[in-house]
Amino acid sequence: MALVSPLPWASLALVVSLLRAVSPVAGEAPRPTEYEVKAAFLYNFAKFVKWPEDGSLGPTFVIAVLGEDPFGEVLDRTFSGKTIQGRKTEVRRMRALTAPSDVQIVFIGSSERPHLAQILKTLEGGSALTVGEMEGFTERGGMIAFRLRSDVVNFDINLDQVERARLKMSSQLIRLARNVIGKGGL
Amino acid sequence: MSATGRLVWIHALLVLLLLPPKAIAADPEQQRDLTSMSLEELASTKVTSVSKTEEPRFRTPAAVQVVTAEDIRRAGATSIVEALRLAPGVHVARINSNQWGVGIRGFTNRLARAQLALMDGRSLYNPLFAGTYWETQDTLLEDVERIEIVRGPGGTLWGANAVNGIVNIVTKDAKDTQGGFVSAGGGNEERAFLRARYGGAIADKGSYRVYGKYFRRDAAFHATTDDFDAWHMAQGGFRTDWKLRGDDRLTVQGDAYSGRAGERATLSFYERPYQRTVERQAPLSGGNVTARWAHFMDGSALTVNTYYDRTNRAEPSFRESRDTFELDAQHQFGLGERQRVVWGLGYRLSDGRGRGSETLTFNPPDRADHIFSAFVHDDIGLVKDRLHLSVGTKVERNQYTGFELQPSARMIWAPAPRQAVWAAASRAVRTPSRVERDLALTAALSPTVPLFARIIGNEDFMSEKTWAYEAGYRIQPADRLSLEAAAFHDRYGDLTSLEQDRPFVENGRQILPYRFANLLRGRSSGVEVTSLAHLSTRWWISAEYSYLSLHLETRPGSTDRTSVASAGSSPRHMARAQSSWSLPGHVDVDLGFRWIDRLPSQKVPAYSELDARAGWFVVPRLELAIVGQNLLHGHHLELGGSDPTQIERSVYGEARWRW
Repeated sequence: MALVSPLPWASLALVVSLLRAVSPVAGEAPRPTEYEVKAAFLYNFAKFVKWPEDGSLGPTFVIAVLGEDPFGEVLDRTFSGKTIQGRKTEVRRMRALTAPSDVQIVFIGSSERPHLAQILKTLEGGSALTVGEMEGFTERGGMIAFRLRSDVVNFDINLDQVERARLKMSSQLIRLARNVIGKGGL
Repeated sequence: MSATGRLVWIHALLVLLLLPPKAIAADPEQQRDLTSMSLEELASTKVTSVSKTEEPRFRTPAAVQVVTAEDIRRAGATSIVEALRLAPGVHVARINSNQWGVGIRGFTNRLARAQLALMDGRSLYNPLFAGTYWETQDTLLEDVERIEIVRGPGGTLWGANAVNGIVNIVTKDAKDTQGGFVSAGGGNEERAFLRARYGGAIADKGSYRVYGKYFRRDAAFHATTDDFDAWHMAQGGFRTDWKLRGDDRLTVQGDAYSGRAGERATLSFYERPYQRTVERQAPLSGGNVTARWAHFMDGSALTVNTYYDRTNRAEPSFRESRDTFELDAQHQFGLGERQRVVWGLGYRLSDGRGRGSETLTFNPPDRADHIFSAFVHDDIGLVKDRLHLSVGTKVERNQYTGFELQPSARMIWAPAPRQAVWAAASRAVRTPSRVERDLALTAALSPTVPLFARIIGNEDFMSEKTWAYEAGYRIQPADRLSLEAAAFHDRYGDLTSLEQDRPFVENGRQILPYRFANLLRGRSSGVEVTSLAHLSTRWWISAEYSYLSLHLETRPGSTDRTSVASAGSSPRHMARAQSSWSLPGHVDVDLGFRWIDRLPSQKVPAYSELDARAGWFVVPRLELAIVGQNLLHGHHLELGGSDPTQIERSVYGEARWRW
């Protein structure tokens, strides 16, 4: 398809440069994206949960994304330069859980929904905090499930699973959850 | 490209280029702010919903657009078919108050034969005249989770007749529509409407909703004829979603509707006067029940979907009652580390009982279609998270043409997290409908002389075949900006033509017979470009442009001199731009501008139109809105220039209350 002749392009460039100069919206803070907020929540989960100091923590604090990654570079930016329980953080992306004991937070992508039971079984006995956003995640044995409601991100917690993994979750975090399954729940 | 076409193209680009630099640049400050926010602050931060709708779509190797309930609300659309205008490359042309023509990548028609439409897994495609009667496809638009509009073929997954596009309407889970909702309003065209829904929980086991709606719409503008096309419709329905043992899910839902739509038709008779134009309030009614069960096992998922659907139409020239029953099962599982296989089996029974007139007959009058289908689809991760190949085919058996094979291969490559390139090659077919096989339609050519044309079905009519080649590119250069382009080249074979037979005399009447045949072929090419930018927390804009070049030709031996012109029922250029503001004081303002190129074969000139909406949340639960549609002209033509029915400017007010 023939696009446009060079002449309109030249005038277009002019118009654009003029309009940019007077654009009224500069300086307003844009709304963050859903995954920027979810990434920030992951960072807060890391801060408000204590992992047992019994060898379940390695030299680095690892946040793993299992399956399809909805975060992209947002997650790397969120954790870059951060330390958790005195350890440097590291973001990993995995298609399968090869060494589950090295991982502290596992974000289980929605693409893994059919394998969820298998994944949770692999993690059993360890101290990884499992986070997901698929439907029924906490009911099926995941620990924290993100929810999006009226453009606001919140979450459900399955406290039984958290305690089974010997993780200590701050009451501040539990109080903020929309639904809590387990003995702390309503 | 015409001068006006060029102008619109430039405007579309202009909208894109006007983004202030600040809005486009990824802002590292923003990131640091988020992690230093308190938990409470974070839990009350509003997010843009861009990523939610964009993300799954981003990795789809097809040209897909998703329209959400929020998009529909802000556009002020009052029907599903009007909401399709929000997708690029889709030509929605309103014929009169109660009829629309829809074309995806060409072939705009009241009953677009090569486009499939579904709602919650239920086919909306009527196989008698082959196509979708959009005026009866409705639900509470607030309960629509999304409308996925796929441009290009989808026969591999969806089956026959998904040649040029698919409209897949998905309604919300009942647990997401809890509480009450009432909306009421009216205006000059949308005379009056009332919509209500209530949703609740059923113990811990599930949730439900029930809804009802009613509308009355005014006739379109008629310069020389009566206002025949006013209409009204009432509809109600329910949906329940249940959690069963394990992780099983069960959905049962249903709808029922009834209304009358003013129609006008020229009927032919064998006795004088041979032609008569009648206007009638056509009763349209129907209902359906769907059940869907999803069973999750370790590493695999099984879904079974079944529905029963009844439609009754009594138009001036014919009436039909149709029962459709379908049972589908789908199983998906992982194969090794990198493969995901989906396969399924399906059966559909569609049983229509029609009654025409002496000049419109189907032989046999009643016919039940049985369609058996099977498909398999494999998604292979060639390079982890980077390169995916999906191959598959559907095999379908219908009693007109036997087995039809619809394979496709699609590939997507993500060179970077926010970029994707895809390409696809597919074969799709449009199977014969009863029109091409069983119809005998006789039309008087004069009210006073016994001269008739007769269109006759052809038992040897075959499927129309298409090979489609597509490619696309998506990029999200910044968090708040996404761009997408898709290009296609389709080759059509064995398209419907009308071949002249030898004239004959029947009971003193001169008959000019025409027979359906497959002697038309064609090719089309085009591009669709879309962009979406969140300029600030309170302002986002989108711009779309699509180009289509469709060429049809008869094969040697054909006597058809008119069908090739049908290529001119779709616009060469279409452009749309939308700007949405959320102003302080809880006011939403939306403007939607569209420009549609001329339709030579329809004698429809190019037109521009503007829709506008202002909504004010008086309190969070109450919204008052005023909507203006087609504001630029008192009335304008969208399809069918020979019938001077034009679409009028419409203004309506609405109040919405939820609790």
